[in-house]
Amino acid sequence: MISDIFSYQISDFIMYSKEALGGLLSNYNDDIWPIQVFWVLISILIFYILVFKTRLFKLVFVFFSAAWFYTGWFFYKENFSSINLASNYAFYICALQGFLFLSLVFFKAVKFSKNFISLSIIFLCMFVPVEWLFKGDISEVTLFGWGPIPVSVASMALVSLIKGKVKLMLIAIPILTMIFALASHLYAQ
Amino acid sequence: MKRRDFIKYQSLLLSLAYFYPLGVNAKKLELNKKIIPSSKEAIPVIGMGTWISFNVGDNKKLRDQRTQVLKKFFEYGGGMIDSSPMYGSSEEVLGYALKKLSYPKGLFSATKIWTPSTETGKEQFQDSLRLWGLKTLDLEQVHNLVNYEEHLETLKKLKSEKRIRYIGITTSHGRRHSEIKKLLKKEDLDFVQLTYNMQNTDAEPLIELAQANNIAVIANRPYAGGGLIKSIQNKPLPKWSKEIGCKTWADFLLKYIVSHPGVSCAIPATTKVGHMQENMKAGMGLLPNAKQRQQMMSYFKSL
Repeated sequence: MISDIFSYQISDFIMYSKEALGGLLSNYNDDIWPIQVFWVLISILIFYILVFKTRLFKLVFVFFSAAWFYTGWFFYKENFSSINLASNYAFYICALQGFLFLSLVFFKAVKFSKNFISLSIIFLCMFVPVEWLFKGDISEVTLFGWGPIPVSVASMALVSLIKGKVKLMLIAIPILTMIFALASHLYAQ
Repeated sequence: MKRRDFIKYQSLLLSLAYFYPLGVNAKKLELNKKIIPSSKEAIPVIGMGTWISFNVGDNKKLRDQRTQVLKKFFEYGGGMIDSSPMYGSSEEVLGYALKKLSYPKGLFSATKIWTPSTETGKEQFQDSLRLWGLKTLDLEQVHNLVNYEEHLETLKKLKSEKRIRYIGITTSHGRRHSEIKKLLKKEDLDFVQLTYNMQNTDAEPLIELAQANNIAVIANRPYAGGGLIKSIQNKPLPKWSKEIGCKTWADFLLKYIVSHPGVSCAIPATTKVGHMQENMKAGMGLLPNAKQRQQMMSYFKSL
């Protein structure tokens, strides 16, 4: 049995092809259009708050919470679950992260500090179609708000801007989600 | 020769020329078949797997493309299609494609139960019927031996009710061979599915045991998930490969598998119509004998 466990590889758990994943992302973007415009506008607002109106930074947590709920429901549960059975559970994990971000609004002790690197990463996730640079197909691109990789990476960057131990509570799910999503892209055959 | 005779003979020759293509078609090679020991029914030696390849979700473009792959499979006389509830949307996509093709003659439906729960196993059987769009299934297997004690009882009951025709167990990648060995000796099985290809021949003792116990063998991962054929496709085939009807590496790899006397069929998976055609051609014509199989393995190892 032990030798059996070592015979498994990451690719054994990826049950779809790159072609099927690309097709799914493309269909997903078609299905939700024009919500992408809404998320880009929200992203502009978030970035404006983080750079110029830091006293309103708790409002950013509300938007990040919404992004987690949206990605969990519309990406994982409604779309990705058609090719990956585990995605039905991913929604609950995303929802938990959404609640965690939302709960920060009610914590008075939460402090925030600016950091150029973290802000740059958030900017990339919100406005630069990084996936397009790698894959060359704009129809498959997701950005902050509706795609798991930009939402999880932007969340990690946002958490790094928060002071105190509360950030430990907020970092686990984005890391797991990013690993899961990246493995989907890298190990699909 | 009189003019009338000339016209008569000319017409006769033209008629022969017209019918010549039919003569060629009649001589076209057919897919080799092997006998299922428990029933003596013959099945084509090349089947089709659906892991990854048919899991395309709701994407209509990809579903229609997979329908073309399946169409080619049946055009070449294909029979066994193997799937599982574990393969995401594969069973649903299969049902879609089969319906579009009006359920071609010769379909041999093979799927699995994959769950630790006995009750969910029964539900999976019902789901498979619904997704494939069939009233009965040909073969139901216990996937990767998950909860096999309970599921085999369910399958025996389904067989006695004539809702399935055959019972099987599966494994892959060479896992849990010791348990498979026990079950081949102990249980009344029709099929066993395991990984067997030129790179991984660990299952040979089990194939021989299955043969001795009148159990048909399905060889999965014949190309080791695609990696095997990719690793050798740029290397030359031996000159003598034509003697055993091998023109491509697909011929070479698949003929080696299905020529094992204990193997009933191999189930390569593909997303491309061209590859399906290659796979099916590999099951036609000559199959190597024991000596030629040794020669094939020696050449493969020398690469």
